[in-house]
Amino acid sequence: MVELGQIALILSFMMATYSTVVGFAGGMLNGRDLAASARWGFYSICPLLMLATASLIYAFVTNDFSVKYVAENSNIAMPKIYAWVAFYSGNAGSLLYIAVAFSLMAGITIRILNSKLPYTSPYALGVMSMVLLFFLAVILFLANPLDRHQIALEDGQGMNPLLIHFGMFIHPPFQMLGLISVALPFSIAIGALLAGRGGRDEWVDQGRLWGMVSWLLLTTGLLLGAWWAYTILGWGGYWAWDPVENSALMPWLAMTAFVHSIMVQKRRGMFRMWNMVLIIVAFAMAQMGMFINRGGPVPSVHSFAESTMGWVFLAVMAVTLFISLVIFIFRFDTLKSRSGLDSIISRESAFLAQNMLFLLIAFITLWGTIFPILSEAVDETTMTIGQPFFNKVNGPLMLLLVFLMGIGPVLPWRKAGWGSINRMLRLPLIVSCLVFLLSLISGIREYWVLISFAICSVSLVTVFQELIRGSRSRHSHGESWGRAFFSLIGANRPRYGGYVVHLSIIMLALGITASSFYDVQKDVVMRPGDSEVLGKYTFKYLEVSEKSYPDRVEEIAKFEVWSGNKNIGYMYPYRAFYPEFQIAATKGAIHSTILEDFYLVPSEFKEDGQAVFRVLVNPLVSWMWAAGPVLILGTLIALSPKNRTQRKRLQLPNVNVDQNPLRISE
Amino acid sequence: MLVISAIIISLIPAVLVAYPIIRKIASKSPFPEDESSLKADLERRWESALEGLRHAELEMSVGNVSESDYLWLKQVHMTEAALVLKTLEIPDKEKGCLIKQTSLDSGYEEDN
Repeated sequence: MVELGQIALILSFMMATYSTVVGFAGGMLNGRDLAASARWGFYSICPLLMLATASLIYAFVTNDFSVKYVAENSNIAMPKIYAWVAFYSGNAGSLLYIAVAFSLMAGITIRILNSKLPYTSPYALGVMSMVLLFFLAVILFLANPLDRHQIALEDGQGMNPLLIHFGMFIHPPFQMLGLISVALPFSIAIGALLAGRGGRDEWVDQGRLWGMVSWLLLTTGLLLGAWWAYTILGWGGYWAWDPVENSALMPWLAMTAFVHSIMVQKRRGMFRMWNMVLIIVAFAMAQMGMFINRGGPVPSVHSFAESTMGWVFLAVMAVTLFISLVIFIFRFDTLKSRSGLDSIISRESAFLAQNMLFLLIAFITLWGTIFPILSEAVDETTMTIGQPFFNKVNGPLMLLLVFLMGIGPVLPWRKAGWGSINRMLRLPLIVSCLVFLLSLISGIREYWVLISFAICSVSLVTVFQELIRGSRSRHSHGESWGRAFFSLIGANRPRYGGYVVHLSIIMLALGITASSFYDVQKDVVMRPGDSEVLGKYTFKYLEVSEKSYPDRVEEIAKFEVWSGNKNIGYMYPYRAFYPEFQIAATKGAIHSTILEDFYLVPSEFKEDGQAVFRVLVNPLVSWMWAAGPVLILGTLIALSPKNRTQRKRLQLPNVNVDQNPLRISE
Repeated sequence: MLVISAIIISLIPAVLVAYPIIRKIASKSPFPEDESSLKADLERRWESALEGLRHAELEMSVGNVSESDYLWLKQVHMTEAALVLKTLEIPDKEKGCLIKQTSLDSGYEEDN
């Protein structure tokens, strides 16, 4: 089975090479049969890589420790269900996962592109094949998960115990999918540049579609990562500005800017160059993310993904960036905007300002992330930039973004007079001032919290104002309120889907603000029978029990907890020790309500019966996790296709146009 | 067994890439519409102008824009739509009809 997988890998490498060369040739020579051949060649890669994946998973399930990767990432004690997790828990396997996932996504993209953009698709196919070719080359020549040992081992080393958890089934796959999916809109954009057929905006619809898919995957990966850190890693927080976290955040920031500014190009034929720059930057940052993930020189808590091949990714990033910029300069004259800004107070201007902020935060994060390398290069001392720097610099910029998120979508395209501004922003600004004053009266003195609550209320009121006004307008035409609400959303899906996404961002912003400024933390030393108090919570340490498993020993503490006078039951935080790895992992116990989380995590169990616990009360964290499904729902609404009535409405008659007397598109 | 399996899995992609070239499937089918043609560009601009009109109507009906902004936006988008029609080689009568429909249809409530 493993040998079949090896053959499948070699064949997929050959097919990717073929699709790259023949795809570009088909595009340049306008050879439709060549392009079709390249496309079918590309379609064959996904099943081949699935075969390679199946052979690796089969090796895990059958404990075939003659396969190096299987021996390094599993052992006999590992539950069989974790064979899937073990598949991508190491460097070589995760590369294979990325390759198979990308071949599937790119196959679907190419299938759609072939009907929507038939003359651009061979070039986009060429770029996607090149991206896949790179991964397959790395897999085959540098990190082959199907390589065998000379001698079969009796048992493997086992998987990093921190990875044996349900969360591993969802967080890493989404994160890796998100990073590689940036290559889809990138390939479409570069394909359109390479095609260079004189058109300028033909790639915009597909770029937006796949940009949003990529954005959704990146966002889901980030949220799941934060949830994973909070609930599983047991340190009480969800974001530490760790280099690997930053490496996922940077492409997300660039992609968020892109999915907004591509709408300006669609509506106004503006920002053509800017969108190209954004998607190139987003792809470069995704590659930077993979570089940091795979053994980049920056110290990170995500050491399980370490390897020595980070520099290969960095070199390819540099080459990609250079080639993209050369193509960009070569096609510079086709990227001039159709029109200019009519007014500084317009939706276009708000999008531009928001874009600048996104990029600014991305570059500040990049600077903070790579600063240790720069400092070492300059004076041979490694200086690490910590959480306070990022919070202090990025925090206010992010608040400004939330403010723009509130006012931008309600500004009309082209220009807004003072009359329109007054109609749209009067209520949100009045409510915002009221929220500011009420917060002040209720005793809040931290000015960043006051500002944050005021800004979030602007955004929140604008969203609800839009929904209520729109529904009311339809209701006045005789529709029931419920029908008016849903048909409003259905008739304007990108707009109202966007508002739902903005709601989720407000939930995130409130959760981050409250948990950053009002979290309470206490380290306590307790003996069984001791009680302690934190805020309104009283918790009694009842006992500790020990449980042995084949791979670990767990020390489980039992607590009885009261919120005020109300008994909220027992909580069981524990600490697991894995003797084979000499690794200890703690697992917090969380009592979560809509307002706050009570979080208990053991730090140390001493031999004399004493134990050290960290106890936290984190306000509004559950809002952040609730924001995830809201965000996904909003994105799906925005992405859902128009209905038949909308598509059919007022199409242009089918006539031949072979001249351009008005030079209209220039 | 391994050799036979290897030959089979090698043959599948080989057949897939050879088939479109040998049978010339793509070149036998009519040329697809060029996404970069002037007509495609005009269609995009037409859609954009209509979308702008619908958007202006929506903003007006929900009370987001002032009367003067609404009239200005409507004029800008109608001019754009008219410009697109002027470039197309269609009879004047049909152009007039489309412009009239454009104005009527620009409301966002397509079901009403």
